[in-house]
Amino acid sequence: MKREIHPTFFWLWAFFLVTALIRLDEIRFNVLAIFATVALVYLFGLTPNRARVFKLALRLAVLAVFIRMLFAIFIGVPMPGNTLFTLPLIQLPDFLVGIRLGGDVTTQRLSTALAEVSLFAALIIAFGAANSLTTPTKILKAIPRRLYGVGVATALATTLTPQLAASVSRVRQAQFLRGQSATGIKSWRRIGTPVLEESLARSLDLAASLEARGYGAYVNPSRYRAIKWDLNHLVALLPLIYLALIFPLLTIPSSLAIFFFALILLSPLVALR
Amino acid sequence: MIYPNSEQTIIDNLSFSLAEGEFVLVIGETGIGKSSVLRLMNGLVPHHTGGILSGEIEVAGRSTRLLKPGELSDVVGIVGQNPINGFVCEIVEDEIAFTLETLGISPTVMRKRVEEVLDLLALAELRSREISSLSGGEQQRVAIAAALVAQPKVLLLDEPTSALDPIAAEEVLSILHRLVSDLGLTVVIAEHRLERVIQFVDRILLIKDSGQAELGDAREVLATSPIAPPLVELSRIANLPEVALTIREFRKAISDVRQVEPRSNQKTGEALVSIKNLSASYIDELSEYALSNLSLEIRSGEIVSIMGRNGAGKSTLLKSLVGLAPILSGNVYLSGQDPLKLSGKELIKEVGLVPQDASDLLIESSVARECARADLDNEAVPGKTLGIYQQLSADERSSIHPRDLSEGQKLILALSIQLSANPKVIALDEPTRGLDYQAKRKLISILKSIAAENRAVLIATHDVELVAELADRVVFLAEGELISQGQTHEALTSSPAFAPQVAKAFPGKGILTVAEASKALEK
Repeated sequence: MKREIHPTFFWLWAFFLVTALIRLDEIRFNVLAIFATVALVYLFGLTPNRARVFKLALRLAVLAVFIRMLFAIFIGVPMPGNTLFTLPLIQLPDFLVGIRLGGDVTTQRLSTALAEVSLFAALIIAFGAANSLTTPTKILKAIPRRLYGVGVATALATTLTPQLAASVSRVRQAQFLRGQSATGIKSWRRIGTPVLEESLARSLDLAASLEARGYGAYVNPSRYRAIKWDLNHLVALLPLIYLALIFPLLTIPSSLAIFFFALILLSPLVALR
Repeated sequence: MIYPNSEQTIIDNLSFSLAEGEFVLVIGETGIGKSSVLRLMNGLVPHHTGGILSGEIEVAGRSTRLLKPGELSDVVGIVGQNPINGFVCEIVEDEIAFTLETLGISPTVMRKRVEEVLDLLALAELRSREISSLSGGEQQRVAIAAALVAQPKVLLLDEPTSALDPIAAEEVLSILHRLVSDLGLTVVIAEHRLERVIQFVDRILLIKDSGQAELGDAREVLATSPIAPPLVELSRIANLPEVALTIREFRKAISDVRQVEPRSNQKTGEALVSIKNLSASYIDELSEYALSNLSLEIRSGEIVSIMGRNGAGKSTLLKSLVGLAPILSGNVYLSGQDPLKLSGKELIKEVGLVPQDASDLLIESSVARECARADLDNEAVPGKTLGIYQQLSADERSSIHPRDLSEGQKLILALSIQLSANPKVIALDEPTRGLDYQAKRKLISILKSIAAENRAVLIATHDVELVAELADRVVFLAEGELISQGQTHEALTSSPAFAPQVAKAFPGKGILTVAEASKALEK
């Protein structure tokens, strides 16, 4: 049977990974971290719903890179370095001192931007991975027993959002069937009313279901198949913690460093699969 | 029992007691209080809804007056009308365990019980699947499992099969039947589709108009009940000494019957819809549907029904008519025009589609306003929609909120809105969901009159009884492919899963409806 992974594991992993990347501060580590994270996510396996969440994170990261590089090319302070190509300079009013549109695009300028944005993309993907590998319901169940009620309530709220999106698209289609193109502010009333009514009805159903199943009626709820932190979890996480907090890795030759880093990134695979 | 803001007595002076291991069916017209009776039994009414209740209800010796529904959850389990709305977790196993977690059962006992229930409801294969990716029948089973895992003595189910295709319904009902006979569970079920459940039922609680109710042996109640499945109507027509509850009983009781000439209804009107080699794919929040290489022609004056399992592509086919399904290849023509090139206003003059949730179409706060808006939207003469609605529904109340209408009236309102645009084709997606026999009969006569006006009617449904009464032609879909089509008679009698009850009662006689059967029995 597949080993159960503690719901907080991937969140901690993402946190220490990002910390390590900030300390290492090099593009190649960031890029490697991105690839390793994507590999981990697919090796640990996702359900279709969760895969959608991860794809969203990937798309967000790509968007971030795209926007940052666009800015790097068109706007920015002049920087020394090899000029790759030159864009026509656009005159801006006097009060915008220091901002320049167009001009020389240098390698230096691009690489600084790339360093920044690759870290940012790695951050989005690392936490996107954590979010998609552990469902919100599970992580909230892992919180202390006294907060069980709060946990369930929050989990319910998070699972209701996709349902709301689904009913908006369904009602939008229904309005289209009445010959109404559903765009603009006016359409919001036509869509909003049925959606609100439906979500109200749904909440009532849910409340009835919770009540009928004894939610809140008993003082001491118990935990089904609680997953514990064990040695394997620690083995999987410790190298990364070490890297993030203690050892900046730069003291060993750089060709070895990247190899070492790759090993660390794959440690969850060895310890937890 | 009286609800807040209402003067109507839902249940009046009702007394009954149920024994262990009984299978009880609650019947009555829509909106008469079937759900209320179920919810009274676990205290959701009046604890959750408010209202005035007089009298005493005890379940396993505990009074619902003193205890909240949650404190009864270990003796009564309830499965609501839309189980998907009541789910708390994403994964099947967690959902089942949730009930036990709230009850504070110890982890080791919990583990054992979850495994038992998974086996009992044949869910072991699905244990780590996401609930939203399951089919309707599977979701229904998960909901039953989540209620059963607390080991209640009584299980209440509100219309468990109304959204299911015949095969999935059979699956759920036979599991319920096994629970009753093996575990001695008491099951109380409210259901419109009596033909599906009566064979399993011991006693029936019939709720009448005035809030009066009678509980009796299934046979006795059905002998006189105004609500009756086709088989019971047949027994009455054939003057059987005892009402037949199963097809076998009926076949035994009835002697030889004449062969009936199949009704011939080849329609030769102009082609209103023609679909050529259509392939479409469609992914929504929950699942993936597709059509592959499908060709179909629908003529004016024709009633065509599309049948198939849940997820076979029925809805996608209807959506492709209005350009809502992304077409990969092939063409759809509405009177020779491509729906994708028509504007919204032009489209509604070609096809009026009533979606699965008819209430999605309704946005206003009263029937009159709803109709006025429809007149405006559809560029019709003011008052036209309301006129159609009142003629079809025979309901004069125009200031009532659409949400307060019964399911049947809501459907008729949505249909009237679409009709006022004067479309050449009317398409309906699962129109009989939640309708009782009376509302269904009304719908049948309305749709027949629409077809008589030389419009084409297209229905996606798995209600075989409706198809038998109504359709000229049946199209079967499976996994997005058209697997067979033909005249209703041949199509329905040749498929065992989709044969209506009447056809099963007279095998090989070509009889599909109660009306035909009564003719055959007379001569």
